[in-house]
Amino acid sequence: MDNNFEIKEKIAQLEKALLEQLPDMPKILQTIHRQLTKDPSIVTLLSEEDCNVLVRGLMAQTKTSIVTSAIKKPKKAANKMIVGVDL
Amino acid sequence: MNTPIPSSLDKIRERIALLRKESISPESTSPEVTPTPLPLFLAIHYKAYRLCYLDYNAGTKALIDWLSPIDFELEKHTDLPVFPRILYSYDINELAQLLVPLNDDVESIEKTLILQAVVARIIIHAAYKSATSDTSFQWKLV
Repeated sequence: MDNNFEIKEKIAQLEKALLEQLPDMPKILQTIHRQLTKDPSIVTLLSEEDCNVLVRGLMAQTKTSIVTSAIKKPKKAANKMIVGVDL
Repeated sequence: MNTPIPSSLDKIRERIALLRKESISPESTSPEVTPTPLPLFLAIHYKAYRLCYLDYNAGTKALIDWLSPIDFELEKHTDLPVFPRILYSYDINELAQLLVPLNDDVESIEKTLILQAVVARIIIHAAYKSATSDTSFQWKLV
């Protein structure tokens, strides 16, 4: 498939994933990244709207990873507190 | 009677130990990362500038994280022209600071500041070039 057509298609998929909150956004972003680093000149084909979708996708992805890491963290401190109170 | 351990077995054990070591070393597990050319980042950043700038440059930060490591190709820019001070806008300096963040290591602060200044000059130079001649990356001074 033509590389230029492929990146446009991926951007469209990313927009859909953003709108419908689909879980495959990281995979799409990874593919776009691979295509861009493989042939940086295709960036000239991207319109302002395409780049906006890309940045919106990245921001959504960053927020998701921040929230996930925040949820995973706690617990240890709570245990220590209980020990402290018992003593 | 104790049978001597064959030397080939020792070699196999050594090999297995080496393979295990290799499999847990970061070099072997991390995929090979291709550095992103700075103009590629600048092209996307320019086109999505308004969105990148919102929320204390949240978009720019996300873009830098995504494209890291970004290659500034410093060796290509050893003889950059001197630009008027008016071109060193807040935006350019802010972008250079995001691309080359200052860390807590006191010894490298001076180096980082120099690098930030050089990166700012590269950005201005690239913007000036794209504004005056037709290059493969079409973006202008932000």
